Amino acid sequence: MSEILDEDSLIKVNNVSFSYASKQIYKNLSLNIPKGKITAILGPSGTGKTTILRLIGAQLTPDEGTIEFDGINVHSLRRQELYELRKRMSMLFQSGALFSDMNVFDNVAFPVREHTKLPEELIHDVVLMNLEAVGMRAAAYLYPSELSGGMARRAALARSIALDPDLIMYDEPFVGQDPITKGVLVKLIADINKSLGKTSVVVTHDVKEILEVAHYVYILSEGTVLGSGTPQEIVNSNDPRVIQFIQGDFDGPYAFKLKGSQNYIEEL
Amino acid sequence: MTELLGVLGRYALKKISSLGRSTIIFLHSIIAIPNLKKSFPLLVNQIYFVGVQSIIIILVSGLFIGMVLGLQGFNILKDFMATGSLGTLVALSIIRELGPVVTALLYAGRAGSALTAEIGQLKASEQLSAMEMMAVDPLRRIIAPRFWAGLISMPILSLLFCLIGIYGGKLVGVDWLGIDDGIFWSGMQASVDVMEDLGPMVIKAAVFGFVCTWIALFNGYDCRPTSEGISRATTATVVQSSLAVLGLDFILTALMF
Repeated sequence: MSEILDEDSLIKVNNVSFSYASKQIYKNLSLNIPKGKITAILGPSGTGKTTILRLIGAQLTPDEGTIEFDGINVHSLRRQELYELRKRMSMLFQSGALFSDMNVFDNVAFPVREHTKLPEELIHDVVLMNLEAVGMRAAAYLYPSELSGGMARRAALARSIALDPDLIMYDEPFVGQDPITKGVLVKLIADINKSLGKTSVVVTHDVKEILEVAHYVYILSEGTVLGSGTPQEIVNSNDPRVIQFIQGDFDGPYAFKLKGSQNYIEEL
Repeated sequence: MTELLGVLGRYALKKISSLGRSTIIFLHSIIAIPNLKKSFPLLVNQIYFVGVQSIIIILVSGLFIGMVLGLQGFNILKDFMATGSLGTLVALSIIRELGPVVTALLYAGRAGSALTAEIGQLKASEQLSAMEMMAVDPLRRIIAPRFWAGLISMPILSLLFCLIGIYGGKLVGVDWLGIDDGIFWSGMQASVDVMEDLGPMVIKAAVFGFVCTWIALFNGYDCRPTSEGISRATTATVVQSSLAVLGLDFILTALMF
């Protein structure tokens, strides 16, 4: 199984433990996100896949362990320094999280207006170029409430690349999308990685779609890394839990019935 | 007994931790060098939202409260042959107490609940998180302008309430019940002092504006990001603001009058 070397990594997650509401989400989790590649983080629902993105963005703080972004421990930074570092990252939220009181154009222009002193004419061109890249130029003056789920995600993607970040994190980009939109999003993730050379982390449980474009895959389960490697290595894995997840079998090492439930007959 | 102490202890810890969080959020929100070019338009927008859009409810309430005060005051004063003091009664009651207190209660119900629901919705739809990840601090971009807008708007709204309330008292006392116009206004003019009555009114209004706006913003920012969480936070805003205004009114009155 291929390993990601420390020097090739943009992000290093070192022995991270994290609990939320007395439930342990991660226990000594370690993983490396390679620079300039698409890394997929897969896993069953409820394993805390989104949590890892929030930990990387320092929106959450681990109980133990460290997370380094380009050699910087993100949780040791002061508030101002953290906001400075976040200019180098961006995140595509599951819902898109477009600002509901702004149209698509202003949403994409928002980070540019906040962090640069570019004249409005130049911002206009930058925004239109980003919208064109995701095929949403025609929707520039629509409001988020007028967009479909797929359109909202594409608009949010245009916003997330507006500041040319080093890292783009995608939180469940394919959830609730039709096959055509899924195809569009897969193409956009691949294109952005290829043309801009950005590091991408995609959290998803849509195995088929992401294995087409990912360079490296982690499967998380029960707070730790269940398996990792290239898509080919994951597909050829002998681990029955990895096989069940990849093939989507309804029963197996991950039991169909939840553990700890009372005896059925007795409860009846 | 031990169990009861445990429950009380947990409740106290929860409240203290909430107060601590609120203070930290407050300090992060307001202690910063403002970027006037970006902050001023946001502040103007929020003054329009929390202040200008509250004017109608403040004016209508103020008018009716002044009219009721005029009517009740006239009915009581006529038994003592003192209807000439109606102007004094209406003006002092409204300026010293009813103006700032009722304005604050109406403000908490109209603008405070709307602020909580708005911030809660921004949180539930991940817009605040998105802003954080775009390296824009939501405390400075979202919370601070709303806070300053509340603080600026409340004294102005209170002043408007007082003006229209006194006019309502005049409508009933002078125009309807026939008290002499000159006696009504001169009584009021002789008894209302700028430093002793209007000054404390403005101070009360500013304190209420601070408290109501902060309670509203913190409840929205700290709410559980679900429909039920937003609903609870909105209710908490109105209840906590109303109780805080009434409690603080007593303290401020004791200190200033």
